[in-house]
Amino acid sequence: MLLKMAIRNVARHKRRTFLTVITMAVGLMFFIFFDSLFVGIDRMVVEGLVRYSDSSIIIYSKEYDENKKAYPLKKGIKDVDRIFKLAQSFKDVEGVATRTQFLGELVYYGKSKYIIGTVINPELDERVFEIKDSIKEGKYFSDGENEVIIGIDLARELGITVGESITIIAQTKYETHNALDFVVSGLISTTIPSINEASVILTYKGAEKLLDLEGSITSIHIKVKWPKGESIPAYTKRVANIASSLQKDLPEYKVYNFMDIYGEFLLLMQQKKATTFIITFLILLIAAVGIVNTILMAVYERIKEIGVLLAMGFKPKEIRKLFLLEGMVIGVIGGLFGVLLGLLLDLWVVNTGINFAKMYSGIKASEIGMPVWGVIYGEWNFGAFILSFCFGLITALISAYIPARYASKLKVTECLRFV
Amino acid sequence: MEGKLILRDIQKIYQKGSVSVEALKGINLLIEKGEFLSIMGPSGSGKTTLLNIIGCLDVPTKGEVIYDGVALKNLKEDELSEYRKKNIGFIFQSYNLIPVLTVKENIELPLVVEKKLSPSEREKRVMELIEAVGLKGMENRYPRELSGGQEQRVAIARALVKKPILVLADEPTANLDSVTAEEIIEIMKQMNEIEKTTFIFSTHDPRVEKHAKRLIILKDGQIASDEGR
Repeated sequence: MLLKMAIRNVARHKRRTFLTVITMAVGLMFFIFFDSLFVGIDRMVVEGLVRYSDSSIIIYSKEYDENKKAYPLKKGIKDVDRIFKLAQSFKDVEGVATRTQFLGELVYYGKSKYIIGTVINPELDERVFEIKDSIKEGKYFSDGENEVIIGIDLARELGITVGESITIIAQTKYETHNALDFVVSGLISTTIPSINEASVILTYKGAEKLLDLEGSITSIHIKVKWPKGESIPAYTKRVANIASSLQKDLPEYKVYNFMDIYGEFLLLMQQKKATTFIITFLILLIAAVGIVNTILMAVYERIKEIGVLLAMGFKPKEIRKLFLLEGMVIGVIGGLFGVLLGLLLDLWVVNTGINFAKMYSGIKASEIGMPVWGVIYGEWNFGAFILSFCFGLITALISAYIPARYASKLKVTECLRFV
Repeated sequence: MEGKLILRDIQKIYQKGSVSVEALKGINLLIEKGEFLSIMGPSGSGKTTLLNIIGCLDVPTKGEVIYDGVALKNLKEDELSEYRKKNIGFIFQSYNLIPVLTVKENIELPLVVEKKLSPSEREKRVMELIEAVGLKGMENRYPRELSGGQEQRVAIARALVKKPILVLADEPTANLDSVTAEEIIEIMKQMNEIEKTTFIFSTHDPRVEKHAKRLIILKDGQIASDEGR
């Protein structure tokens, strides 16, 4: 009977209930949506790392690892063949590739920009990375002799088009400066902003003359099969097992799995998630004030009714329960409504995605601190639905408690004075 | 002995800031079971205060209320509320039905709170009363769909549903026209006879007063006259 009364009382003031419910629902929808987006971004960052820049496992020589930020070309890997064999002995390994990275400067008609150069072996690289599939304009390497592929945003910024010549200035392995002209054969567009904005990819054939490499390989990248639908934690576990097994066999090298690298992004993402939490909290706080107000108004309006119930023998705790139930009804409706709105928004962001590149055309991802770029898709996270529903319900109950407690403290004669 | 009510030297003082108002000044009363008693008096004479004290809604500043030999002043607030729940029914001037409950649910509510009867027993008792107060066929209507007289009939049925020893009615006909007022008093009288429930009602409506079997007139917080008929 109490629940029936609570439901009908909430339904009696449709407009007031609607406003409270909608505020709450918007807060919860916001939470569900951004959670989906952030989980989606998380996945895109991880997938981007695996597909384009780092692969599942990376191996450096210990000396290189200690001084990684300076890209020391001299500290290359000596046992390339042995590492290849070792890596290929795992049945889950899809491909192994070598890469060498360097810092340099791209010069084009008086304009220049610092770049990160990546030297690849196209044949091996294709088995590990998806560079070839990400060529937006132009084509992949044909002979690789004096060809480069550059990031699409880098090209746009300097006004470079496919087929044009550019100059790359870099330090050789022996730390002397060198400059060489290359022809841009393709422009690459990935979900990783740093690749699009500052990356120049060339083959060992082409880099040899520029960097005096003498075959120096600074990193080996191993791609572990990632079946569609496998979750990040499950994949991480498999990759980490292989990486630690490799590390045991290669004590003189440093073996990283992709999650070790992802850790750097994690901090950034956590800050963004904290912001979402704060905004959600603020919206829910508004909803909470609405609920306190709604129930308090109900208490004042029905002070006579409270008197009658008390006269009838209702105990103060039953009066409190009645108003708490009204809060709960608002919480359940608001929660369900929020979950429904969140579901609809998630349907859109998961299936259609948000085209950040289009939305912010003319702006670079790094300028707005985005760790991924292009069309960003959300990810289903049913935990967020349950969490937001509970969050709404708890907010409603806590907010209803204040007026409910007030109602339960009323004296019967005071209430009946309004009779 | 059962249902006997004794009020001994009841005094009630309200403190309003630094001013104290003496609403009741030493009331002594003996009310037997089954009485149909009217308390009259001008506004401010202490009618409502007296009803509140008899109804265990308020406690006297001095003096004591004794029901069936039990002194109520020894009861704690929870026990008082329990006592009220079991033994006393209330009828108010403005009916005070719960707007979100139907006629049937309003009458049933005290039984639901009491948790003594099974749903089928509750249904039987409620239907019995609906018929007795002449509301058959209206059990699923909401208070807003009823006339004042019909609402007060529901309130009477609600007050009686638990078979209380005592029903207190504060100005039960004040908001009704003469014909309806007569009807309501008639129903209360019938119930008094059928259920053997004591009825105490306050009024300053002379149309109602003539039906009372005992009439107490209050003046300035004291009994000015007490006559049986």
